[in-house]
Amino acid sequence: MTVHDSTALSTTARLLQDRITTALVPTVLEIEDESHLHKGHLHGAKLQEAQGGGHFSVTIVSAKFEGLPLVQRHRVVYTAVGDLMGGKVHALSMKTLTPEESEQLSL
Amino acid sequence: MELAEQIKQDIETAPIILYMKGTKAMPMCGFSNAVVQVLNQYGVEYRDVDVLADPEIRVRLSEFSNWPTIPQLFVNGELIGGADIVVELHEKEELLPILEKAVVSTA
Repeated sequence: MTVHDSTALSTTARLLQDRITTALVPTVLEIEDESHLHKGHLHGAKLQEAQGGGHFSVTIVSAKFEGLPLVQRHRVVYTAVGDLMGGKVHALSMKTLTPEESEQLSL
Repeated sequence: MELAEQIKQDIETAPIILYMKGTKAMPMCGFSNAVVQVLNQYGVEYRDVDVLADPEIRVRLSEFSNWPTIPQLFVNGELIGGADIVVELHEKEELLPILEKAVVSTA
């Protein structure tokens, strides 16, 4: 499992990592903290001040996505992430792949 | 009509409806803007609802759709997804058939 971050993983990123790992048992999990990209972002800036909600981007490869359309895959991730959404996490960009789809992409 | 009832009715009656931050003429968030840009490429008619107009819209919408983030795109009463999914479907050329279903059903 790989986790990409420019510095050490933030507390929030680690929470995301834990919850996604527990629920989805991913073979690949990449988490990027993109909060810094949204500093000039009006609502982002406000939210950051108010509750420290960050922008994260995750790539998850998991066999649990097999047979599920994208909406259902994202729902599974949102469920796993639970109350972090709207709290510590303001926005979560997702790429959700099955192991097979991931192999096709890396050809 | 209660707001929750109104949202349900709007989603069920509009062929294509986008809940977003800002309006399609002036999106107020990068994720909402991404969906507007994709839909604009197809030149389809769709209704936009600005969730910033009233904070309660967002709360009731998420209760109804069981989806925590904005934007949310619905076609024929069904949640297609947020920005990631709309962009991904667009890139895989799977979005047009979904949008065409809505156009056909109103024709």
